[in-house]
Amino acid sequence: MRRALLQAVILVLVSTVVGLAANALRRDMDKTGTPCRLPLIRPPRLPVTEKDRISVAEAETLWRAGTAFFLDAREPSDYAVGHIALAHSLPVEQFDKYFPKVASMLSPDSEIVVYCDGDQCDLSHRLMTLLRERGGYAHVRVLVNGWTTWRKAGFPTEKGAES
Amino acid sequence: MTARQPLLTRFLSFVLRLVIGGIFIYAGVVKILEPAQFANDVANYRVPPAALVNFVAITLPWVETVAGILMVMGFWLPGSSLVITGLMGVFLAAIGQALVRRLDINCGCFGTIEAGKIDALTLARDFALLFFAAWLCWRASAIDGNRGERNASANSGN
Repeated sequence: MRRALLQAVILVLVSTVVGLAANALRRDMDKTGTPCRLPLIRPPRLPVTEKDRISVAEAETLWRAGTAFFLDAREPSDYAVGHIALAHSLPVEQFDKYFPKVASMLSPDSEIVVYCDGDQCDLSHRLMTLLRERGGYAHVRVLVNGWTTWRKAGFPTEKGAES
Repeated sequence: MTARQPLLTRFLSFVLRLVIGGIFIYAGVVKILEPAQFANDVANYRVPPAALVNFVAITLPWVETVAGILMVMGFWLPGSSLVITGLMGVFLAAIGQALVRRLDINCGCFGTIEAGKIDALTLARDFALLFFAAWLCWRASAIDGNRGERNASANSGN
């Protein structure tokens, strides 16, 4: 057993060093165009103030009234599996590629709801910041843990990739 | 000792090595190809402190891959099977706590290839892998121990 422990410790240490070295050296992108090299320390989540958030009830009211655009900040593959009905895909990791098409549907005064999935997901927060800073849209709010919250509330969803 | 192992046990051990090692290589490589996605999956489990999430996402897939390669090759079997058993224990604990906390999250077990949510089936699959990996570990250590004793006897002239 001592030999097994020794081997295990060496295996973990060597793999960890290889992993760190590979991360430091790699320059490739994954299939969604996100850089594969990760910062060693994850940057803290962007703060979201209370006024940046929208409740699922209010989001649904806007959705029913048809007065707000819903933007899905997740990867296109996640969007295709399921998304809030009528939402458009704007993956934050590929903002520059997808933004022009979405921008053609928006006006500076548009009411925008952005969402991703999971309490810890900050894609929607990042998308809100990008839309405000690069797009100049003032009325952007985050539906926190949006996909799960919306789905669990039983509100309309749909499947399929962005056409 | 090795020669006295029943053929069936040796065959089973060989097949399990290939299957479990293969699963670990596959699971490791798909995560190495999509580290940002895996980091998000790790964060969603809310187990490691936020600052350590990327460290885990960078290194864990390599540990999985290397342990899987060694297991398939049958090299350092006591160590590689111990690491895989340990990892299965960690994965089970992570999934178990997420289910208890009713977190509705992706498994992240095989990157985006298996974009399924965690459920009791994930838990059952991981329990099976833990059991077989532990058996391989126990068997490899026993063979290793017997070999050591035999060598010691041979050296002492008995």
